[in-house]
Amino acid sequence: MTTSVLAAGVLEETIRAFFQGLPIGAGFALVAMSFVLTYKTSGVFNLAFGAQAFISAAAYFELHTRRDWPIWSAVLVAVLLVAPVLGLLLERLIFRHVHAVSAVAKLVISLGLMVALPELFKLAVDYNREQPFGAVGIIPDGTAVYRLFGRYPVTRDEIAAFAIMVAAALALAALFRYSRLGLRIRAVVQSPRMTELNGVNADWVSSGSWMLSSLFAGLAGVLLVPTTSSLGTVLEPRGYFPIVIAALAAAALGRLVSLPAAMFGGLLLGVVTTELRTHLPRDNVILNELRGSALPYVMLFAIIVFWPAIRRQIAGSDPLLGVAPPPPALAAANRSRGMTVYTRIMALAFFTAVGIWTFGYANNFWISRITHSVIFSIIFLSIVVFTGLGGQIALCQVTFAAIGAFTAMQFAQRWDVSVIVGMLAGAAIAAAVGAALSVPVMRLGGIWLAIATLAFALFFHDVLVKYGWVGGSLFHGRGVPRPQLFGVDFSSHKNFLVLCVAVLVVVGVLVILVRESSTGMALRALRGSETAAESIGVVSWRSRVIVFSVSAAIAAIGGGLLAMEEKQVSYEANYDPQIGLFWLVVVVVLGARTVEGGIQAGVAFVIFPVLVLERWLHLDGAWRFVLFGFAAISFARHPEGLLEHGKRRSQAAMQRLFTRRPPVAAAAGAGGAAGPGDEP
Amino acid sequence: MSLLAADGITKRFAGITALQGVSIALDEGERVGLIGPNGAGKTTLFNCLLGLLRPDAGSVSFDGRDITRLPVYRRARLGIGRTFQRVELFSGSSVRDHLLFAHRIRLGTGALWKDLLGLGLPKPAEIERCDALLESLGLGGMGDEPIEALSLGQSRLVEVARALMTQPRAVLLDEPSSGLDRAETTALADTMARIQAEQGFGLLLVEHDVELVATFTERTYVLDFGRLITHGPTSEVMRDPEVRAAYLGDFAAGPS
Repeated sequence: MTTSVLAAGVLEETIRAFFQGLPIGAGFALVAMSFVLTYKTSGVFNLAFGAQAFISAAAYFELHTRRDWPIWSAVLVAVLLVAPVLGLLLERLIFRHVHAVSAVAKLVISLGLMVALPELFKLAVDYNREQPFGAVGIIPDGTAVYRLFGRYPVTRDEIAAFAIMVAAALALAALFRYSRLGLRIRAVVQSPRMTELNGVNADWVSSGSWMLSSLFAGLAGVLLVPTTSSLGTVLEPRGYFPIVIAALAAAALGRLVSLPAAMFGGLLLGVVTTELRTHLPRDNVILNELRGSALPYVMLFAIIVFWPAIRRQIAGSDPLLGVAPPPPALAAANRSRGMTVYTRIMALAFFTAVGIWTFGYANNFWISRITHSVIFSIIFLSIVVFTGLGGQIALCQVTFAAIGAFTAMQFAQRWDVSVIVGMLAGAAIAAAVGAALSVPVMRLGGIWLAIATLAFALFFHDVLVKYGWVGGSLFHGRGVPRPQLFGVDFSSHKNFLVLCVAVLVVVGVLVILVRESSTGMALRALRGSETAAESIGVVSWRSRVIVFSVSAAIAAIGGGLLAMEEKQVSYEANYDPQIGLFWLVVVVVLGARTVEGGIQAGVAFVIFPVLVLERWLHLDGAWRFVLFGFAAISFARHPEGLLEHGKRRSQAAMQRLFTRRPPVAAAAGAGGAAGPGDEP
Repeated sequence: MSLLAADGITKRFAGITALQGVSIALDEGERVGLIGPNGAGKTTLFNCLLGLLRPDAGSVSFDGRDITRLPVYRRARLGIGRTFQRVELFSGSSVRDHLLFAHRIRLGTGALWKDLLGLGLPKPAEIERCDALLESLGLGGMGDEPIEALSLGQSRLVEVARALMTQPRAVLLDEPSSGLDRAETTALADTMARIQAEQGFGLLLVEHDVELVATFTERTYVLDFGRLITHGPTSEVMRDPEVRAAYLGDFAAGPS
């Protein structure tokens, strides 16, 4: 009797969770279909959909809640005007011009937009995110509860979300099946160039699909405002991140190309999410966190790693798709001897001047800023190693830095061991974690590798960091001492800066040695042609595991130093995964291929907002997200980085000025290098 | 015992039989051709030999060892070198880097710890060895050139040089004449013949250019619709009526 009562209770809860999951899944499905639509028509894996959904939702909030517009007009403007126009602008101004670049380059651009768009919106409309948000849906009296079959509660908002998703999916299916635009979109998916040969303007078709996908994202953004508890009472871009991740997981089920799979995947994940939240036990930290926002990250990681269809996916099938030329040789490789001497003299003079000013005149604020610059330069060298040398994108360097910081703190606090030992142990742990993580994900490569590492970073952020043996909650992340080494006390600002500079020099030299030696050659080989590299015996996964581990260790060393500099682990301020995305954007924008580029990125990350934006231009520091985010667009044209590009151009100009020889660098960089199959 | 042998290879793709019980063999020091019309299964067989495809039935052996389930890199380390129909070089690397890296892979001398200690930088002896091979292939003085600056013919030679630096016992050439004019093809064939005579490796040539196969190889296998229709000394194969009907057309009529 008792057993049957229990079983009936479980069944009741399961059915209730099913009905509660459908509207959440409807939101996932809408965003997932947006992903698929954009990926199919332009090859862009658009991580900025969360930002687009946020902008529509925030516009709806501004108009309806703050300016008292009627619901229908606020929805009309936010979903049917703002969202498609935003999609059109993104396509016309950005993605139309990068059609032929690699999927990884497009991912970097979308990362930049993801960082830049919400901040630009907030700055443009003076959006006040601190203001309590009376979350209301698009249906009047949306919180009113109905009981399906007389027992399962659902709100009007939830019914509306599900009904609108079904209607939108049907409309999309009809558009593809019966309309001229749908036919053209399907043709453009197969090959934009061949479609153009048949007299179709592929650019306009692409614009149409971007407007459509943006409209879906906007619709999802507005629909999910009342139904997603993770939004809390404040409408922020961060609130849309778990939704985007879940939608990504849904889209991944259909390998990013199947709209029906994305729709059903979204609904399925919505239901699975609520079922797990209902039935998972609450007495385990990890399982309890899976009941919250961590679940989408785990699902995404699991789908990417274990879903067989993803392993079989072949990137790019357009027979007429252009091939992006390889990035030009580094400026340093092509300059004359005289120019090399001149460059080194100038660099020496610059660093001498900075050193004299820092140690002779700078106050503690600026010494601290410069120390931060040096530390972030070290951390960014980890991106130089993996992205610049390895040619892959990983989005969890911030996690490795956090591991370094926490390990240094734990060693010092828990066992009273030197923070230097703790920092090195952190580097070893990060390398081991990197190796363990890379075994399942490294064979994926490209965008899947990036997304899998992002899922790991988010899982660490939401779950692992809450364990005392990871995040050190016992110590509240405080009390990281500065070290003493060989009898020298590095507790003063200046002494600690010297230590950080020494570490930067050592790490920089090691990175150069790796780049110029066998490991660097293996990475260049794998970037050039994985098939050819394996044909001479290169073990591709092993090379990538090694370089990922090295990269993780470098990030951890930087993280440990950062904890020492701040004398605490400021986790939320320094190691949030979304900050990690911004790190990547800054480094690839400025130059991920050289040690110099990593250092310049470190300086720009720390000094630029303080000195240029706030002190010189008197602008909000948030403009750095906008500026660097939009600058990520340049990655498509200059994958070597803006500074390296500028250096090559100025070097060519200098050589024209001082010598009569034609500058080699200019010739190599001007028209793109000839492909291996081209005549000289 | 053959150096490289495929025994009864069958490969199907979604119900289509690309290869049906095909057996071929390559001995050390010989030059063997593999020809057939488009869709005959040449590339499928090539990929089965190299490990890019796993056969549904049959086996591949190298020096008497069953390598059917070995991945590409393990076969390469055993001594199977290859070139590609569509040139596959490492963009961003110099010509010498290609050879240097292949050399280190062969010797297994590359290691992260050596790199970190500064022991992984190119050594004069290594550079000298690479430059000597480049010289013998007619690429002397081009070691520092970026591969993007090479012509197609030079690129193919760099591929050959890269393969040779792994000290292969068998070299598989995938349509090396693709994209080359007659003079370049002849020059490439002459160079390959000379190097092969010096080093004594077995050479399997998969080729559309029947004239090249006729003049360059000693034995030839002919595939058609996934089946081996004949094999033997190249001069005899070229006169085979079945081969002429399936593939050669008027060409064989002339010389014979």
